[in-house]
Amino acid sequence: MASSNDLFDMLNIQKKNSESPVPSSANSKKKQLTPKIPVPPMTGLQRELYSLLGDSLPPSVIHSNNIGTQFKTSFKMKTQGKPSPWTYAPFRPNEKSSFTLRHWVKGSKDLLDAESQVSMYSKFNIHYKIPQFDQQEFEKFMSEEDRKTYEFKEIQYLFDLCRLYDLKWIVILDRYDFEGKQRSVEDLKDMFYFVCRKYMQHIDPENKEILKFLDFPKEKEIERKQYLNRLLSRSSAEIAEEEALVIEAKRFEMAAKRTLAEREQLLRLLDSPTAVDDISIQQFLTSHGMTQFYNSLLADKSRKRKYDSVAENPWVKQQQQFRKQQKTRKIEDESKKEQENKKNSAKTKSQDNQENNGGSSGSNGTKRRQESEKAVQLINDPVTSLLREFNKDERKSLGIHLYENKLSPGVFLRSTKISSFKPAVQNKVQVALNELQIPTRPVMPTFDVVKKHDQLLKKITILLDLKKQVDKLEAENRIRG
Amino acid sequence: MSSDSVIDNKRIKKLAISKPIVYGNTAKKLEESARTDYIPKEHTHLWTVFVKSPTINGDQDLTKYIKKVIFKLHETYPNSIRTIEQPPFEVTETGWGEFEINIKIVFQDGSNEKIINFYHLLRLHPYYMIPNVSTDNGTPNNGTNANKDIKNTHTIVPAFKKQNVIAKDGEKLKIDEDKGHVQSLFFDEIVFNEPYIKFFQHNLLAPSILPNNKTDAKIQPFSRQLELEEIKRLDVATEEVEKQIKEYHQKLIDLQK
Repeated sequence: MASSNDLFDMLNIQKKNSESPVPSSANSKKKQLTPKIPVPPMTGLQRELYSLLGDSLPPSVIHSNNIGTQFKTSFKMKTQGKPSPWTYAPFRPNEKSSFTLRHWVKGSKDLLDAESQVSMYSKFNIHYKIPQFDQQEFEKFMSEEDRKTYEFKEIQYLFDLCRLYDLKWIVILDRYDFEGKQRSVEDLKDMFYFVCRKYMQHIDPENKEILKFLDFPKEKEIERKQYLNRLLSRSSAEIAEEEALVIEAKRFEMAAKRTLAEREQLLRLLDSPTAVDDISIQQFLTSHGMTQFYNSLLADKSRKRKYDSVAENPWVKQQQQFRKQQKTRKIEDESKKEQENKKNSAKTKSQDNQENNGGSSGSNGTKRRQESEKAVQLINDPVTSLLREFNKDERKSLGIHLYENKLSPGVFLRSTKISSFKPAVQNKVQVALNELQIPTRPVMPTFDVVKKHDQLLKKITILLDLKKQVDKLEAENRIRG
Repeated sequence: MSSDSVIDNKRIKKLAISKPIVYGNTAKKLEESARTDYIPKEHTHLWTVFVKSPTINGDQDLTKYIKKVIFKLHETYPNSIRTIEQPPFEVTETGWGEFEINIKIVFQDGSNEKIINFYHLLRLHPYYMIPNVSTDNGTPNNGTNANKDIKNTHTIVPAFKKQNVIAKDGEKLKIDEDKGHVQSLFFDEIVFNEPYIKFFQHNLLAPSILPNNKTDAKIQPFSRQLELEEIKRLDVATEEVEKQIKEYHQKLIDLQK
């Protein structure tokens, strides 16, 4: 029985010592005092618990036997329900056997038959049919040579054991004792199956099917067992090395997969829309061709941006560099004769083809890029190309306007974009507009009108600012004056 | 040449394209005899609200990029939300009161643009009714500006007087008081900032030419001439403001001395 003192000792607590000068006597006194508290006497587990608490009794102590009762009830709950009856009944292993065995069966004695029954598992008790022959037969189906290695007596002995132990080879090997000869399991199996085959061939020469099942490759079996032996006798270091190798292999596999996926992605990026064959610059000189070319440039641009987004990958980077080199080479080539150029492009194309899995789209893409490269040398900016396409009047009638900076994309009514000001300023601006007989919303808010209108509004705000400052200064002067 | 994939359909950077439209309404006073059985008795006007093209080609231009126009009438009208999917984009109704009509323009499917949403105040009357508290005898005492009206409208509640409407800023108001016709028009431009390339090519890349002279513009009054006049007006006003700026600048310099 452990007391609170033991507990404090165990936990290395010297609380009591520091508080009271005479700890041991005080403790013992208090210990004696505790039972005096007028409470029902505690027993068993509860008493032990309280002794552990020592004199540091909690202010509210639950003095009840709840803990004990709870344990009891929960235990009762589990043990409720009647035990089911079991009977130690006799049985026979099979029909023929004369002796009886006993085993436990669920159910009362009354329900079960008093007589010993045949075991329900007897139907699984089946024996192999092992061929049987006498010496004459043996000499018939075994050749002279075979009989030198396989003696009839030993074979007879082996087959008897096989019959007895139902081809349980390990048991057979254990019991095998023929003239003190050393035989392995493989030897025994080899002997058995060889003789069986000869026997079967002799009995039923037509039946080739069964020979398959009687084939026993002795060498292979020995090899297999040796291998298993080796596997089992590996040292822990060897096992660790093997595991490391497996992990390494898996890593390689993963890396290969990743590179494959990346390559696929890159190819998809490089895959450009199919271009019309034999593009010449003449095609771009018509207005229709111009817009088409503009489109293709836009598409090219977006593709380039995608390049950047995946450029972190070193593999892609390398590819990009390679591509750049190719391009520069191509441009150099272009400056040479037209004939040479054609040859060269054919070469690079074929290279490209190999790279792009020989896809036709790849070659077209390079060609197109090549073409656009040419055109870019003519016109650097797609926007200016569009400008050139339409003259000023045409653009006006189309309502096209080009800007220096990026616009906020979307659709709106022009009149809603007329600049407005803070309410205080807005009122003043409105008054000024009224004086000038200009409506706050133009009657025809076209591009030009709104531009003019905005300019006017800006001027008006400048004027208002000036007026304000002038008024201020005038007021100051008046005060000074 | 370019493939049909979505990736190629980019917005054209730094480009804006605008298309002129006209919206507004016409209204006609209904004669007593014209009011048939299916028109409620209290309905005094026949009106049409519309979105039109001011170009010489007319509404054909609109259909290229507008899929439908939705007019949201006052809730007291049956089926107050009217969707028009073919030109003319207009709704004709009868009624007695003026109210704000919500107009929504939905663009063709390829545009990938949001709906444009704006309001138009239905104009039926060439005048406002304003409470006239100052009159003693109850008959509407006129201002100088409404002589004509008073003759016709003695029957109107005496505590009100009429005041001619003043066109709102930017409103083109046409009034034929004898016939009781009112036309209220607004010109505006739908601006496509950085439109999608496909939409731009197929739906927007068509000229929208305004008539050159005012006289050419029979159906609607907006023309190149009117625009130029407005620009001129603005130029004059700008010059005026610049002149004043110079004056005040000089004043400021003088004052600072």
